[in-house]
Amino acid sequence: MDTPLIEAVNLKKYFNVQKGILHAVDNVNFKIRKGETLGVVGESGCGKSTLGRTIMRLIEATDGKVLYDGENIFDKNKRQMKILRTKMQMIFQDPYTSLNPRLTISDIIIEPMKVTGVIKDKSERKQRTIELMERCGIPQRYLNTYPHELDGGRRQRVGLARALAVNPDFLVCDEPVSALDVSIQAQILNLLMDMQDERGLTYMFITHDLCVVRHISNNIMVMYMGEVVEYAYRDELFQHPLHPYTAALLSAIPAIELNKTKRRELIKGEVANPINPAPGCRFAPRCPYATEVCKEPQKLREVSSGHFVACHLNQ
Amino acid sequence: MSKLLEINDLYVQYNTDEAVVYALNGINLSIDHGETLGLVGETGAGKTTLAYSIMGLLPKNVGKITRGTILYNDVNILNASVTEMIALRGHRISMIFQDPMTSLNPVIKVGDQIREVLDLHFPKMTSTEKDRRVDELLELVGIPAFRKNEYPHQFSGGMKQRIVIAMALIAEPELFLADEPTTALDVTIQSQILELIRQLKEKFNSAMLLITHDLGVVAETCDKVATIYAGEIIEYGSVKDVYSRKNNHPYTEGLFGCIPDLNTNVNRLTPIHGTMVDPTDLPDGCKFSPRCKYCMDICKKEIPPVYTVGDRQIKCHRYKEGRLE
Repeated sequence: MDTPLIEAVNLKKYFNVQKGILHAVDNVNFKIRKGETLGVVGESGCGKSTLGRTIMRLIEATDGKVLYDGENIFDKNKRQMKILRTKMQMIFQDPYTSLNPRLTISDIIIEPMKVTGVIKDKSERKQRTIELMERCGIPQRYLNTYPHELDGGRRQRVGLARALAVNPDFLVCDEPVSALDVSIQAQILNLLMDMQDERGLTYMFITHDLCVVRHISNNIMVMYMGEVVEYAYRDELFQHPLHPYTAALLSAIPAIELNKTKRRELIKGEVANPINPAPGCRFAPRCPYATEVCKEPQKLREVSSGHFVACHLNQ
Repeated sequence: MSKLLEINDLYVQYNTDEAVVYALNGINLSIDHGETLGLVGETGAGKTTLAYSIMGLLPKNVGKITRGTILYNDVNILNASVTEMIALRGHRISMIFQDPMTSLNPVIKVGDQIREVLDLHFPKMTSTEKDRRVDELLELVGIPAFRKNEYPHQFSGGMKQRIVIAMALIAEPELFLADEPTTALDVTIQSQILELIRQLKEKFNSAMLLITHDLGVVAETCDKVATIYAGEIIEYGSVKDVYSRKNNHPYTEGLFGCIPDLNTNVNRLTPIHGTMVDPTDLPDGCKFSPRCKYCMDICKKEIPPVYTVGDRQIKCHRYKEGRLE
């Protein structure tokens, strides 16, 4: 068994809010092997973006470890972190706000090379920028334009080119296609997958769109109110969803086929905030199968090889 | 029986300081009583402009209807006076907007906002009767009536959309325009809201124009579907027919290809090449031709007429000889 490229161990991120402690990310464990994609799905407010940012150390974790190639990144000092950032990069959700409006496209792509110092030579940087733009499908005429002159799809391509500028191994993609139209979404998804094949990139792909996550991932992790409720191989998860929440999510997707026979399981209510949560299952108030047992903490159990679920059902 | 709503050859443009935006370019569309029509298209295709034209909500001085008619029960509402429109709007035709977070007034209690519709359109109704109706409708959309004295910020996104729906339906309109009603919501909430819209539509027997970019939402909710691209209806037919995925307009075909399917494994999606045309600078001929993989010479020169293929209408030169295959 090869060691995973990135691993999270009991990762926690709590925020102090007026009403108490908000458990945004609670005891999350996962491993991603080199060249694979972990999909993270959940509804808004389930902590998936916070998880992405904690792994990138854009926000400091409350507790736990993130191991990159076996080394805990939380132990690194500022200088070591800078070097590490050439290995891990992030693409953000909103291509309208994640690019500096006062920098030109070439400045934006060059900036990470400058900051991390991976390429010191000016003309070499320029050369690499042109290569990256071409590879990401941005015509060269945009070299000296500003972000506002580009449409959403092209801006997201710039976001990807910027992330790839330092030649990373690991990318956190936080909803990279949610703000785009479907025809553009497909272009960007294909580009991300091409890049993965070409460079052996490892992705953590955060999204709320189950169709997209199924398309791009090897493994999928379902989050609810800061906790992982199910983790499995892609096909296993879609064919045998075990957690009631996963099942509800899957049945809520409006399918583009007609005459389907699937039964729709509407779940009642809405996601609450995980502020000072009770020890039991956080989905229980909405769960149609909830019993007394659900007031006990539900640990992730491995029910079959590689399939983990945090629910007492399906024992 | 005549159609409830009939749009003929509608052209709308926005005159901005920099350029003229050709938003709608000859829309022909009709909705029957009690029917649900899905209008599908991407950002900038003109979906919302169409809804605003029907409601008479185009921005003054900027948005202009240059040609065409909108017949509501055989009366051209484009010629209606302001008072006539006010009487129609919210009463016979109502609309819910995309963003539930911004379509409610933040400083008025939600119960009073729903009641406003009754104050406007039913001046003879007694105060107690109005209160009763508001309570009834809130319960109907799944909100406890006692919450009517709360303000919008005290509700979640899904709840706010329920309130907006209650507001739109309290006068039992004949026609109900829903502009991306679930786009801002999570999937589990989306399925709750779609289910609610479906039930209420049946209860009040309203016709609905559902505007969305999500082909899945259309499949679940609509009877008919129209695809809009660059301000033109390029395909129109029954949902059953269009979703057979045979003999589609190349753009509709492309839209289907862009969505990762849940039941089959494909290595790569087949995206539509390029980006949406610039509505200030439309190409000659077919507006989809620059992105179309079947583009022929004629497509670049002549605007295709509408061909009838089976029960469907398709605006594409490929269907000159009728059905393909």
